[in-house]
Amino acid sequence: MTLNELEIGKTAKVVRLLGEGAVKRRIMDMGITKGTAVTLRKIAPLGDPIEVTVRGYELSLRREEAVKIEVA
Amino acid sequence: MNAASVAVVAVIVALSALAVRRVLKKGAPCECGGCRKCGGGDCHCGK
Amino acid sequence: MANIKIALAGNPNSGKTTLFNELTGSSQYVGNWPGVTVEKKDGILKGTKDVVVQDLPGIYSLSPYSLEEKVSRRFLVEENPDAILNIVDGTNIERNLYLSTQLAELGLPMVMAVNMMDVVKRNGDKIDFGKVGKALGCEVVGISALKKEGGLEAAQRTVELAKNATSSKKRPEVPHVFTGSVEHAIAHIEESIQGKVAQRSIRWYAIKIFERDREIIKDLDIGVGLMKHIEEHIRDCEKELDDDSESIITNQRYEFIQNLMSKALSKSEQRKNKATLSDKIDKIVTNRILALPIFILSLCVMWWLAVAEGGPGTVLTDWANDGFLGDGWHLPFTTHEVDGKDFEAASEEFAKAEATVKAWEAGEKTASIGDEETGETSDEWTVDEAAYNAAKEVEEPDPSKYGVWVPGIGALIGSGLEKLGVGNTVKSLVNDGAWGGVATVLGFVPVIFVVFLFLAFLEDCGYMARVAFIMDRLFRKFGLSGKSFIPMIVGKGCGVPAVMAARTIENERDHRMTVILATFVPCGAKTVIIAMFAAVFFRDMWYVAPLMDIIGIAIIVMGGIALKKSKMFAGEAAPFVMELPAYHMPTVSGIWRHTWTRLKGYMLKAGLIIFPACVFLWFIMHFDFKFNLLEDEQIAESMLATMGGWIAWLLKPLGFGSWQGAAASVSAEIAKEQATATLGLVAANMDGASTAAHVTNLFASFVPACVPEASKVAVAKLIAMSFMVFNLFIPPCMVAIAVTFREMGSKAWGWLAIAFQLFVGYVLAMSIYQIGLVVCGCGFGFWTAVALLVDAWCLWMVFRPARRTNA
Repeated sequence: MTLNELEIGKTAKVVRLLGEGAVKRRIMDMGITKGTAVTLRKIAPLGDPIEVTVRGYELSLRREEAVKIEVA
Repeated sequence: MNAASVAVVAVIVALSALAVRRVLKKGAPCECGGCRKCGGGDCHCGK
Repeated sequence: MANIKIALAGNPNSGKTTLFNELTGSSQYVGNWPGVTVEKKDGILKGTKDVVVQDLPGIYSLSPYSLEEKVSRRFLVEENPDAILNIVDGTNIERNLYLSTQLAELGLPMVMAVNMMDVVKRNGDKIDFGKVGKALGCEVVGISALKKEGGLEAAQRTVELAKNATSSKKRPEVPHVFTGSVEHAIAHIEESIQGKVAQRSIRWYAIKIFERDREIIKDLDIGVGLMKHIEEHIRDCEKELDDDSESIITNQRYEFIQNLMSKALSKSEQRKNKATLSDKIDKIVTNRILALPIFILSLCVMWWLAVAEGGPGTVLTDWANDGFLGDGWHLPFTTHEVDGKDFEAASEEFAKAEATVKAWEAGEKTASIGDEETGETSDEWTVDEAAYNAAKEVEEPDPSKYGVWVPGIGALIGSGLEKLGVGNTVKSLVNDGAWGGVATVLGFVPVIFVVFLFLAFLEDCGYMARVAFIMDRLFRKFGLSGKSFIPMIVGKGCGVPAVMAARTIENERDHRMTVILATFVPCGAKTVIIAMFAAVFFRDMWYVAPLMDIIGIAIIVMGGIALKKSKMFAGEAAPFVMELPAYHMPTVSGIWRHTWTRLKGYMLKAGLIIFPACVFLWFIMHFDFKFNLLEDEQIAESMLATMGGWIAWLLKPLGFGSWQGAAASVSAEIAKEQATATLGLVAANMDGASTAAHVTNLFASFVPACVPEASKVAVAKLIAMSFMVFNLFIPPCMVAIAVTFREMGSKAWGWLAIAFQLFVGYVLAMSIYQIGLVVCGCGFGFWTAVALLVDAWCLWMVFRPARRTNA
């Protein structure tokens, strides 16, 4: 399953990152790497983007970026 | 025109000239040797 | 000792700006990095003369993808700072150390200042600085930038390291964070680029090449043969670890940090699962149901503060214009009534009496009081001889009798000139030219101050990031960022702070588009134009003013869509992976510094441009080309009129292609509200008793001959509408243009913005006039065809399918 399919409040571990280039690098730079625990905190009022907790801080990403993050 | 009028006009002209000079930054070339006129008064090097 | 340059590097929201302010005080210089819109700040370290602190943009990594990161790395590897002061947020240390591992590889002397130690301690956490320092090969100290603890000492330690490094040849220990096979490949790469780069940074370069960093590979000019050899090593590594090289490096960095933290960081047990205050605030503020109402509420607050009738912004503006800069003002709480009337009532009575006297002496049966700016008449009454005689007795009220009266600067200048005994021409030069310009700038200061203050608060407390979070979905649809909303709201008050407020948008493309579009919102000065035209031409059309706002918004939406599809703004979508920093109470000094820097910027820029421009405008209005001094009524012979004539033909398709229309539009570029004043002056020779009548007749004279008699009035109104729309939606005033140029980052981009705005305003005015002309029975002409064709092209630009982006 991918990060955007996670339920609000649930935590999962990153299995794989799809995509390449700037977006993937940026996601990794922000600390979402293989094996990291990510918690889905909330979804923005208009349904996009989403907010997650990773490595002890809050991060927002769009759904189109979240679908590239496989979690389990 | 009396002396006071001349003085007032002179001050206004001088101030305008100073302001124009400052905007164009013609007086002081940038330390990088670049042009200050582009980008609204800031040199390309950021100074 | 020669100059020492220290680079201050760290993540966004790590307290870097606070520390930088503490280290440099008021000796800062703010500019732009070459050719980009990223802000560049440097300053002299307090207590020294030759130590320059260079503030790098807040960054998370040294990747080649974001502008801030590119700028930072170019500075670090090319301009050879003597040492790095790396500021790290102690409450969010894992992600912060990720940048530190990369900085350490540069081989420069480095001090790591772990910030927010007060919070770390309060939380009961412990960080073992010794272990962190040993692992990363740098010195580690704890500071609290907010409380001004330890920051200066950390900087001084950095200076010492820099001095020692130049005297001794000892290089700092570069940390080895990767696993065996990666280190092996890096060692091979180091070997093959030996001599091509500075020895101390060789490891940094080697890692970048391992990541296949295109910029570095290009810069180092590595030959195809050598690259092939290096590529083999990288591929071996990738095969062994089953991942691409960039991911390998990032993963292993974070693994290294996680390992280090398990040894060096002890988190207090009781806090682990407790929600922080920031969490609680965020629960409410970005709540699915409450988020939008709260956001709209905060916009309303800003609206009320800055532009709403009766809000602090307008009250202060009125005071500034009429009181402080104008005739004068009463000290609050000192006013009292005389003969049962307060000063306002007495002044109104006097104005009425004056009008009565004037009307009777002119032989008219009714009198009225009109608004000076708009020409709008408020009430009308009949006059007879008795009223005339009574009115003659009314004396002008003396303000000093009604309370403590403080004379305004305008009044002081007036009486000063009187004392000097200067002539009327010089008086006019000072009042209408020089002082008029300065007063225009200063009159806007209250609104701008209030807006900047509010913005600084929103930014410093962390809400701005949430604004982007909440609004992103909507604004992305037309190519803007969630943060673009703020500049557009600010733009209702004044375009200059609007353009400046766009700075908070990190993404350069979104930033530029916001700058181009923000000034389409009719600002305070443009409202004066709308008010005048509404009063003179569109009295029965109450919807004209809101219509102009709607047109502005429509331009922003459609312009955004069209620009996004254009070649210049197309390309790979910028990732929206954004940190949502913890909320915190901003400090008064922080907000003040933020506000003051921007306000000072506005006053300098505006003053320096508007002052000489107003003097120049006065000059070309009052002299002809033979430098003869002209009376006000001779304006048709002035240089302004002649020059207006030169460009009038350009405005022919818009309906007001005469020197009057051109002169008013040109002078409106100095300050938009100038359009109404100039229009009043250039129309002064027209028939009619009032300025409103003059202007009405002026526009009636523009009506072309082909129009049937019955539609003449309608077409005059049409031309007025075209003139108004043109002046509202062409590039904003000179000051806003100058700021636009600066914020766009280069001359070419600045011109592009101006060209786009000019195009929009021109096409809009032309379409209104040409299509209206056909409706009014003037037949289908050449320009009608042009207008329709251009309109069709514009619609195509908006609605055509999007360019395929190579994702």
